[in-house]
Order: sequence, then structure tokens, then C-alpha cells
Amino acid sequence: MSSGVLLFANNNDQLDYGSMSMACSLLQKRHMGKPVCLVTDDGTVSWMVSQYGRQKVDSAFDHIVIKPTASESTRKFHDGPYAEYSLPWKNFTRVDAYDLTPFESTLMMDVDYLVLSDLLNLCWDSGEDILMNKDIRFIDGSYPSDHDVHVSPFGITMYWATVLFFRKSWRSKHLFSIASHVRDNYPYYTKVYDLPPGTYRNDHAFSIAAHVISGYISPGSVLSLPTGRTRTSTDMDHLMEIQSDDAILFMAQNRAQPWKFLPVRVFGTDVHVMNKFSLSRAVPSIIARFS
Amino acid sequence: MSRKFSADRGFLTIAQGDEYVRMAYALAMSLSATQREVSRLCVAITPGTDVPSEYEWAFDEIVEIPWNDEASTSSWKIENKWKYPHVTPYEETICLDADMLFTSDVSNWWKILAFNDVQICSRVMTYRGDMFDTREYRKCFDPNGLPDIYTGMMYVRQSDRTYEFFDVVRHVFHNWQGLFYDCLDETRPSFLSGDVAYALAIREMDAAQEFVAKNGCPRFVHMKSLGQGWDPSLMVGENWSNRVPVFFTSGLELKVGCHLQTLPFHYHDKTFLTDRIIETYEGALR
Repeated sequence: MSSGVLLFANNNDQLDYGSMSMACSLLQKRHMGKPVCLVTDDGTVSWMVSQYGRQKVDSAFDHIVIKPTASESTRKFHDGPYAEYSLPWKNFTRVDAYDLTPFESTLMMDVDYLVLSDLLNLCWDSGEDILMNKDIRFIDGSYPSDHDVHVSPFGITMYWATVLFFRKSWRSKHLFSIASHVRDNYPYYTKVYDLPPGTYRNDHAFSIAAHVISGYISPGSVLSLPTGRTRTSTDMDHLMEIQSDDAILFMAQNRAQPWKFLPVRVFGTDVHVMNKFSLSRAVPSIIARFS
Repeated sequence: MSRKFSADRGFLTIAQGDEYVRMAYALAMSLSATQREVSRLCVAITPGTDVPSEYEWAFDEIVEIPWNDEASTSSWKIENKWKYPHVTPYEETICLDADMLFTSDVSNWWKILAFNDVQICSRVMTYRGDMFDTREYRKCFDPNGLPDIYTGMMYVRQSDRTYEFFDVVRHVFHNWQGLFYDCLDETRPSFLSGDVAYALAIREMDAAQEFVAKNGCPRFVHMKSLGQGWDPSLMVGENWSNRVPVFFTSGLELKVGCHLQTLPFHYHDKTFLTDRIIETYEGALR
């Protein structure tokens, strides 16, 4: 049975998701050793080839699927607490992963998810057809607030689609089918599930889908990944340095006193880096180290 | 002289006043809609409480609470709650607060509960399926070693032991001011609380192992606002149905905050029971 990692990358004017996906892929290959399929657009591929050369791009990705993105939304991106940008966000194709992936068992992950361990390799023989985390923990050890635990103040559990494992089955197909329906009818689901108005989020779509396939009851039937919870660095934190193959230094914002920062070393555990500008600055060193 | 019972098993609720009769009516319909084996509900009323004729079809028995109405001067009418074994027309009874709806079949509970003469609920849940474990409403329980019971749902079987227990409960209800003062510390409530009274009776009889339900049977969803895990800054208040989305379908499915309810649902907030919910039950059952 084929298995591998699925990434999605579509550049905008300011954020080079293509390069981030290369870094993500190389890190994953170093620690997990799985083939990688990238879903992207022509422009992003051309940019990567121009930057790194065809050979490097081909060594990072075993498959490249070109899927143009017709739709995009706009969201705010932060580069720490003092810089904010409104940029296009092309995040609508994740829910099509079931049909796009070339693998029977797929680990779909965000390109800003840095794999620093082989723990996720436990997914392949887990016997489960869907695994997704609902717990997160910030890199400074702090716990999420309620709006990161539930999709709305009185609503359902938030699942984090940052990393989603699925094995092709009727159940996982159903999950993606529902998530697609949420994407295509987002204003309706915003009302029913009392979602925050505005930008479409894959986390919400997959949370609703997980809730529906669990029969609308909590706790749901979607189990967590082997990592248990997703270690997360927010877009107020800064990625400072790749210190070794499995260690990254961050400056984490003090949540209670936001003008203060705490050096935090993440070692041997995967981490989701929400500050994409900060990640972009580290991408060259990641690519150089792991090529 | 042995007492005659109209059936082996059934549910019982006390309803004093029009509001509670209406809630008991909805409860009766929810039992009819969901229970495979035992769905009969006896409603116990006091003189002066009318059961509208359009509600009578839903109740299997309408009985008058014996002796006098000990809650006649109270706004929160719980003073008759010690009379359950005397009121019920059934040999085995699950006694319920009226502000409840059943959302699924609990027929298998009867076999488990029948191992004991009395089983009082000790585990309640939030509408999201989490344990309801706030101590906000139970400030005197932990300091006084009271068993964590919820008298909104209890099983009672006719037996000498049951009457022995309820004699103690009656004594607590009738002398609650002195007994709360003597037996509880300064965290004692200044009003008669049914849960505290029953818990005190159990403590004094050292009968927690015998009368406090274990293993989550029975259990219900307890919709007191402070225990639902909501952000305190939302300041929801006890009329939670003003804020939390509720869906009640024509298939009689209840979803609260988009969570399908599968346990008995103790709503507490009387504004939750809308005419629409009642009409939906009536449409499905009549």
C-alpha cells in the first residue's frame, strides 16, 4: 500500500509557500523518509525551479500535481507583534486532498509544519483511517484559550487540520466530502455552527466534518495523531535559528506581557510555525542543511 | 395491608403549578418517543394544581401527593421530594425532576439499577459530553464530606430498606434548619436544598456505597450554566437558551450548540421548553 506526505503550496506576492514546502519536505524526508507529493500551481513551480534548479525541486518532491487555484481569500498575517499584513490566502484546495493524493495512506500537512521527529510514522500502521489532533500546546508551554479549543463559544470541538492522516476508505472519503460541502457553502455553515464571520478556514471545515462523521456527538470518533497534541508557535513568535537537525530556537512572546520574549528551544518534537515571515527567513538555512 | 401497584416499573415526577405540569407533559411525551420497554410516567400533583385535559393523554397516572402540601409556601417547591416511595404507583421507579427531556432509550438502565433498593445519580455531564465537575453549586459538599449526588434522577424500589432511608430523608427535610446548622459547617446553604438533604441523610446512615450510583448509571446532562465550560467573560446566566443555539428537529432530535443530545437532558432554564418543542412532540406522537 503506497504511503506518503501531501503538501499544498501556492505563492502570493509576499509569501513564498513554494520554498516553505521545499523546506518542509526536506525536513520530513530527513526524519520520516516518506515520499512527498506537492499540490501547487504553475507559477509556484516555475518560481521554485528558478530559485533552486530543477534537480533540487525534483529531489524534494516525488510527485507534483498542478491544480490552479481559482479562489482565494484575504487574511491578516503577522510577523511578530509589530508587523501586520493583509495578503491573499489560497487555502481552498485542501478539502480536495482525497482525490488529489497519489497515495493510499496520506499524511497531509501544512508547509509551515516542521517535522523534527519520526513520531508521525506511527500513523501508517495505526489501523485508523483518520487521525487529526484537537489539542495544541504553545511552544512556551501555555495552554490555548477557548477560541482555540472550540470553533465558537458554545460550539463544537476545534480540530487542527495542520496535520491530517487519512487512509482511503468510505469513512475518510465521507470526511472530505463533508469538508468540501462546508467550503462550498461556508456562509450557511457559519450560521449553523456560529463560526466567526469572514475568512474560510480549513480547521473549521474539518472540525465540522469530524463532528458530523462522529454522529454530531462529543467526544468524537476521530482520534489524535501519535503526537497527541500539536506544538505550536504563533505568529507573534519568531523563529531565530535552526540549531541542529532536530532543534530550533524561537523567541516566544510572553502571552501575559506581550512586550517580553522568551527564548524557547524546541527539540525532537514537530512544531507548527505560524509566523510565515519568520519561517521564510529560515527556509534558506533549512534547504541548505537538508538538501 | 399490602399496597397495590399499577405496574412493575415506571417514571415519576412531581409537578406543582402550571409551569411544572407543562414541563411534565413534555417529559411524558419524550419518554413515549424514546423508551422501548418502560415509558409510563406518573405525575404527582398537589391540590390546586390542574392538569389540562389536553395533557391527560400523555400521563399514565395522575396522583395527588399524600398528606399536606409541604411546599405550599415555597417558591422553589422541593419540600415534597422525600415522599417519592409513598407517592409512586410502581414497584420500581425512576424519579425525575420535571424539567427534563429524554433523548434516547435507557431501557438497559433498569437491569443495572435493580441491584440496589435506591440509586441516586452521581455523575452528570455537560451538553458537550464532558464531565460536569464544577463545585460552584456545591460549595458545602466537599468541606462536609457529602456524597456528590444529584436528586434530579434517582431509582427507588419498594422495600423495607428504602423506607428506612426515606424516613431519614423525611427527618432531614422536616428539620433541615437545625440539622444543617448542627451537621454542616459554615458553607451550609441557607435554604433547603434537596441534594444537600439527601446527601446528609446518606452521610448520617454511612450508606454512600449502597445508595450512590456508580459507573455513570444513571446519568444526565445538567444544564447549569457555570458548569458548561463557557468562558466566564461571556456571562451567560442561567437562562442559557437565550445564548446557545438549540435545534429540535421533526425527528425529535435535540441538538444544543450543534451537539446531538443522547442522555436525559435536564434543561433547568424553563424558557428552553418552547411551544414549538411541545408541538413537535405532539405532531410526532398524536
